[in-house]
Amino acid sequence: MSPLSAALSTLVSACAILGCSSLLSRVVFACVVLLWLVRRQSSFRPLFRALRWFCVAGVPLFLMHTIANTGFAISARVLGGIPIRMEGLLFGASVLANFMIITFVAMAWSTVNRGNLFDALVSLRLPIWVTIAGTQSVATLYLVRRRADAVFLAQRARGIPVGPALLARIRAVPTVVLPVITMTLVDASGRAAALASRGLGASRVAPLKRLSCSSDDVTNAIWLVAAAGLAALAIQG
Amino acid sequence: MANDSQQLSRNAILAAACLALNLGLGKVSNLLGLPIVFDTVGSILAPALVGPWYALLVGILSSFIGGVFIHPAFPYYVGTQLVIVLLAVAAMRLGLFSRLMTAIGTGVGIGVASAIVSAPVTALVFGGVTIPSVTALNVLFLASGKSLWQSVLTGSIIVESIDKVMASSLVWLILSRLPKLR
Repeated sequence: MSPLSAALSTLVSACAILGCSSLLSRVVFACVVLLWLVRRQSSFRPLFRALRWFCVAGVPLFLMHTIANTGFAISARVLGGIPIRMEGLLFGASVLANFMIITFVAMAWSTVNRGNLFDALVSLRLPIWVTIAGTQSVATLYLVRRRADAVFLAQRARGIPVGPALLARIRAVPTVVLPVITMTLVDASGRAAALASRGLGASRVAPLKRLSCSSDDVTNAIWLVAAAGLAALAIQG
Repeated sequence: MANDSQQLSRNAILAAACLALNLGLGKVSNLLGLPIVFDTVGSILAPALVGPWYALLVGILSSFIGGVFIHPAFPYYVGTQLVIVLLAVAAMRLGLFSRLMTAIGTGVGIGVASAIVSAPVTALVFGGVTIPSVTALNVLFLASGKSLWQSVLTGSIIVESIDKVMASSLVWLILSRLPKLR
């Protein structure tokens, strides 16, 4: 997806969260956006990710507001006394619908090509250091995760206790975290010197292609406007 | 001019490293099975390495990039990241990271401040659901009859204080071991 389409999805979704007053309209908007993502990627991966996040946020919300939140009145009792609060269920569903819309925006941004994003940020004339810090951080993030895995395994191989007791796990934090941090910083310091010696920051960076609206962006915009339109119809209905 | 560009590239790459630490150290807490997230170690460390402006950049970008790579709720906590960075900048200026005890005290302060700033977002936008450890505490407090706001604030203060004390202690350890990068 192009950065322009992702930015548009962010804008329309923010309007939907702020403007959709009813639960039904938010659910309609979320469903159409999910359909758009599935069609856009020609796979059910967005659906599976949506289901994952639905469970991650939905289960605690259900437990919290439908069962535990004493601020809502009890509507019924099931399974020998577990309270069910209908107002809490509706409140939780409303929060969950908002969360799902936020999740879809994040999913849209995750499909943006890093090179296209770099070009778009350069075209917007953001300071090059902001763009470099952002794009370099993504590359370094994968490195930090791999390093954390490697250090954890190495410390275990050395016989440093990393559990199962909570105290042992807390004691193990510096032995795992410190090597990861120091290696990342020393590596970054070396990389900065290498990049500077190769001319980073010496001249203005020009984008490979300018930020422009393609036919794909128009199709995406139609889908998003349709989602917003259907949500508006749901409010009136 | 050449020195300027070298300094700028050094700051940008170190800021990127701090940003990656904010987002990547969660992996360590996953591996160790700890209920804390370590998502602010880079933000607290950045003022010492790259100065206040790049540290603010680390805080802001952590929230937005974390929204794509870690958890969709990250961008809503951009205010929390900014408050943490500002407090870390003030603490660095006052030299509070030169001793372990003052670093721990700073961690408690940062934890309470970040809990106060993030509680409205957690309560209003996410209905009290946040990282699993805080959510579990929130459910307990709600079930005991407290309001959503009281539950969220109490749960956040408990977990954030522990998290930030650990983060501040780690930053103190790192700063005492990396004299060349200070």
